[in-house]
Amino acid sequence: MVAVNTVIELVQVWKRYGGVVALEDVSLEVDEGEAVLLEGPSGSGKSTLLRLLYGVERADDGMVRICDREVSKLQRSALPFLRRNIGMVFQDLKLLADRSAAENVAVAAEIVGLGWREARRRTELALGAVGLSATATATVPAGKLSLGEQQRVAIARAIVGSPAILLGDEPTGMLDDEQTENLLELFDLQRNRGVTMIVATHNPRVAAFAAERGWRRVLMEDGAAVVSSPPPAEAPLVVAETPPSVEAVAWADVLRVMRGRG
Amino acid sequence: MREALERAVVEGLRAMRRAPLQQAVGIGAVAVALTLLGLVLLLGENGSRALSAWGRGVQMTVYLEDGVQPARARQIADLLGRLPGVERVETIEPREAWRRLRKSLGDHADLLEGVEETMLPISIEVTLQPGIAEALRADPAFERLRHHPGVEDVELMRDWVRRVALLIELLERVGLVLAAVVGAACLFVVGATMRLGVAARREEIEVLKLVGATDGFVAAPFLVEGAAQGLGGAVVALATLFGLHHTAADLALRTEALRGAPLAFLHGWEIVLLVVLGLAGAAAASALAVGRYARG
Repeated sequence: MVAVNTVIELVQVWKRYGGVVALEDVSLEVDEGEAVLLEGPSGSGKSTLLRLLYGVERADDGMVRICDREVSKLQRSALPFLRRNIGMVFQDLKLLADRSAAENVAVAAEIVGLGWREARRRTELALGAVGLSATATATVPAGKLSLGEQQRVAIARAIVGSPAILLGDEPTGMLDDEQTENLLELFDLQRNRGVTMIVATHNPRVAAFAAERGWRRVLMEDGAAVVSSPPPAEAPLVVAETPPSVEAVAWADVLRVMRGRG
Repeated sequence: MREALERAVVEGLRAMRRAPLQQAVGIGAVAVALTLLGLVLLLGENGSRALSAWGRGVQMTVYLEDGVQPARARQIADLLGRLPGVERVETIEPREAWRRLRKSLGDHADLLEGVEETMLPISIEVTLQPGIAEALRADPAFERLRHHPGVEDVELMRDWVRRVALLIELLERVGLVLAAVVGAACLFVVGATMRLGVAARREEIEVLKLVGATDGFVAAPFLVEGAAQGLGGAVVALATLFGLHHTAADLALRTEALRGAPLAFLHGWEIVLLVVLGLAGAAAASALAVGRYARG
């Protein structure tokens, strides 16, 4: 049996904003090359969890580790080096609105240390992968692109540096069905290349895709990871005709019963 | 390293192209600041020069006692010639002194009727080297000379020289304080302008930090931009100062009182100082402002 490295590890993590608990005692392990879908309604703590992993925020309690490095204890000066190994698609995109699509993507490539020529080459590839053309969008500031195009630019920026970990916070929230399908294929391709992924969504279409491709699915509710679907080898998921959000609610009900709350 | 530098320069120049108005404001702030500083330097330098020039050719007279022989007078004159700050020494024989006195009396020369041409004592006229400092340097020696055997009196222009010297010192000190105040105000204005420019781009800084940029990566283009604005501001300031100097020099040439003291422009080191101040000051202000947002 091949030993698998745990790349992402959260142990009893708590995060509060004032009196509001955003994450409550969350524990999660993600192995190298594994894809995890974080499901749950808005405010369930999905984004907070991703922000903790990316080092944008720090946990109040518990441990957040990435590749054996405790993120909460990283010095500010070490954060850029962590982030260079993580591609992140932010929910609010975080694009440089006055730069072109290519400039937005190229800057990420330069940040990971690629030379100009290589950065330009990779930028064209990454934009091509999300269905955009560097030349066609060269004169248009990213802020003037459609929201769907902007989201694709954000995804291209996340993958251009070939990160070991890919995090997506509602990465398809602004895309139509066809674009969503294409982008999910792109994500799955990343997983097949060994990229470790966590994608947060409440989009049933994404959940269905994840289930079909055997991604691990973690349901979050009120700041807690209430249930984690078993890895596909142990309990293969069936692509449900019903929307996964309903399925997720069902899981939560099961858990409540198991905990004796129901 | 070379690529990082190239990137910083290219990104800095691109940023300048993207926001020309912001660049103009930055360059303008640096230019105004350096022009004010340059004006203080110019005024100080030329004020000091003008006052010093008034001390040019200051003359002092040493009157010898009656009966001092010409040989002794020449000996004293020789001693005077060796004093520091002395440019020229001239021994005035009694006949020459009488002739000068008569000439100075003009229409009243008849007052000298009956006065022998050899009656006046020998005197020595000492012309000091240009500049008040030289006059002051010679002053104590002349004071001692008063007690020298054969010397009747020494006509010192001490009060006048000291007053002018004090004025120069005051001017220099006021200039220094003014330069410091103007310099501090300039730093504040340039700093505030740079902060405003950087604040307008705080989202860009935030995004770059979020995608893994180090503080250096973020700050480098801003440094280049700040340095370019500083350089631009220095060039504008020097051109303005040159124009003002040229106009003032023309005016001075047409003013009788100032004809003898041509206006000086800034020294080479002062020009370099202004350029370095503009370049380094604006770059530093820019880097400080970026640092605030990058750390935040």
